[in-house]
Amino acid sequence: MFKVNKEIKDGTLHLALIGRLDTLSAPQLEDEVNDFLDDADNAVIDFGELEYVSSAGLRVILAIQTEIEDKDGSVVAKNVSDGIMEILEVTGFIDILELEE
Amino acid sequence: MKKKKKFKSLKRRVIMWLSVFTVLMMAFISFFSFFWNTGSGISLISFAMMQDAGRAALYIDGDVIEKYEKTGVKDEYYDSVTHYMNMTIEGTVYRYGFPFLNYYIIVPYEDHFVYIWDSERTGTVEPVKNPHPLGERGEYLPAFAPNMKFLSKFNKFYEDFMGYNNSVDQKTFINDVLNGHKENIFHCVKNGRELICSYAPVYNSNNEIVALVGVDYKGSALFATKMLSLVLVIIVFVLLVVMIIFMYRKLSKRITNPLKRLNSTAKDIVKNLETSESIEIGVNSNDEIGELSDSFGAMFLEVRDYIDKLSAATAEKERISAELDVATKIQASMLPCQFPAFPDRSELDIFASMAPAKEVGGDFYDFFLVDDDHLALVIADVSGKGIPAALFMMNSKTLIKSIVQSGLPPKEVFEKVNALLYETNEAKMFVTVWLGILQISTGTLSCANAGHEYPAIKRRDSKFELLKDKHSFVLAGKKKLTAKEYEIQLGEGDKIFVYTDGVAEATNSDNELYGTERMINALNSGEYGCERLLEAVRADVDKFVGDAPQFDDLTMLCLEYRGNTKGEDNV
Repeated sequence: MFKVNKEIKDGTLHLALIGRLDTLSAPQLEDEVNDFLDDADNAVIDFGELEYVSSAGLRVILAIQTEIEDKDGSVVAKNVSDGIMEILEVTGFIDILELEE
Repeated sequence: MKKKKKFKSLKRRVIMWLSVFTVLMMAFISFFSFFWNTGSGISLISFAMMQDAGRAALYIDGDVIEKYEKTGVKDEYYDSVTHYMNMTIEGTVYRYGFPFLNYYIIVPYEDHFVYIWDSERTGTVEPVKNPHPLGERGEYLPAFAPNMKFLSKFNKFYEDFMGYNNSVDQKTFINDVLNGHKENIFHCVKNGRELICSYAPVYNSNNEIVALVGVDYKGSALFATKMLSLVLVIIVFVLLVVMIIFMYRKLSKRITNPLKRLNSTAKDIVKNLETSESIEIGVNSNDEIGELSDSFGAMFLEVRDYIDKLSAATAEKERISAELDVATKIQASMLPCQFPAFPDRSELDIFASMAPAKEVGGDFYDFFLVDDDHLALVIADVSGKGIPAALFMMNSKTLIKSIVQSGLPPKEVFEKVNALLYETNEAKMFVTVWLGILQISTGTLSCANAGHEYPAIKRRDSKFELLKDKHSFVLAGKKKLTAKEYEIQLGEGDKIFVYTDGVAEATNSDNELYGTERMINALNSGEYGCERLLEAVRADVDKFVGDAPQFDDLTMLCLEYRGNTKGEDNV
């Protein structure tokens, strides 16, 4: 259902979210990303294959963003689809993420 | 249709195969023993007879025979030969199981022969026989009559195996022996008994044949050896049967019975799984069956252990579930659920509903009068679900209500609530909120939206439309929040519908989202009052979702502004 590909390159955490990030899968993302966050100063999140994100999923994204922001880093969102963009806009998350075309 | 497997006893199957094997073995042995006995058995005995005749012929001094024949006087040597022959006859009993019938030395003539020596029989095995005295005349026997019981058969085999036909008279046969055909067996009938005989020539010092050693053997003995081997076959058969019975009992004792016990124990265990304390299978063998029993016992204990743990876990889960039920009720009771909410305020029609997905949820709505002229409407959604979301929701709801009641405008309410929530937000949760404060007298709705869904507005003679309002970030997400505020002017008959993402993001079994478009269509499907409107949306969502489980809370709130009936329009 949900999968996340992750790697760290030069202090930047690259995440690719695949599938549905909802109440059921959000804890999985949190678990998988937690260990990596300590070593990351910046993050790039690929939303290209993300079908859906719920508020529980946004909570994890917010947690990532907060942690990165505390290190004066930035979180870049890329390949954001129209559906996901709408959610990001509605929730105001568009303001805390840097959009990359 | 599944065919029921027919039970086939392991024991019966093994015994069946063993029996088949035994019968085949017996058939095999019988088949070979038939040929082996008639063939090699006959030649073996023939050979033994010829050896005995030949040995005696070598032992006997040919030079004295003429003297005995002429004088008829026995001496010490004569007696020693008689003794030798008698001893040999006794010995053959032990060697072959059957004695020679006769052992004798004769001098052959043209039309008769003369006995020199003849053996005695003591009667131990065969009847007593009086030996022919020295010098007695004997007549040659004719060829045996056809269809004799043993000789006919024997002759046939002899002919097959040795290549001789022995159905000749004694005179012809003895002539053959005298002419050098030594290795042959003569068949005859003497005194009514079927005999087979062998002759060996006795030479004198001039290397002339002076006499013949004769050995008589019973014809039936040859076939008796065949009978003997038949007895042997039967003995082997009996032994095999005994072995099978032994194996059967062993099999029962070591395999089938333990398995049966294991089986019945298993059934007992299933019956008394919860009550039985320990397990006694009663199988104490040191083979695979024993190991199976041990593993079985260990498995039982593990299953018991597992069931105990499972029971404990289930009980715990039930307890939590019961507590969650109570929590759900408490949460629901915190939301205003008396409708009509303000029976004495004819300017307003308001209706709201919340259907939590499972247990307690993070959605909530709220509405309350700030003062006589101001009504606050709140709809919010806390990130996540369950107890953490519910606790966070309680806190958010209380904070929003108390701060709104202090008279601050929506923008400042959000900023203050955000700061307060953020302070104590260990779990990094957040809440999306839409807040509207309606001035009842004017219909002016001051709103702020912190990351929440777009409200839907219906003007009196128009249809519902989404209002893409100004958004700020969610509450409790960031330390500092700059909220945005906007105003909507409501006229008489206008409606506003707010909802949580449980509506727009209701999902069917194909993972399709319900979406705001379907929601707007449902809202516009008829001219409804607030209560019926919510029911219509709910029904449409349910229809869309079908059998798929409801993931998110479904919370909706609708307000109809009926205008200032106390104002100048009042009739």
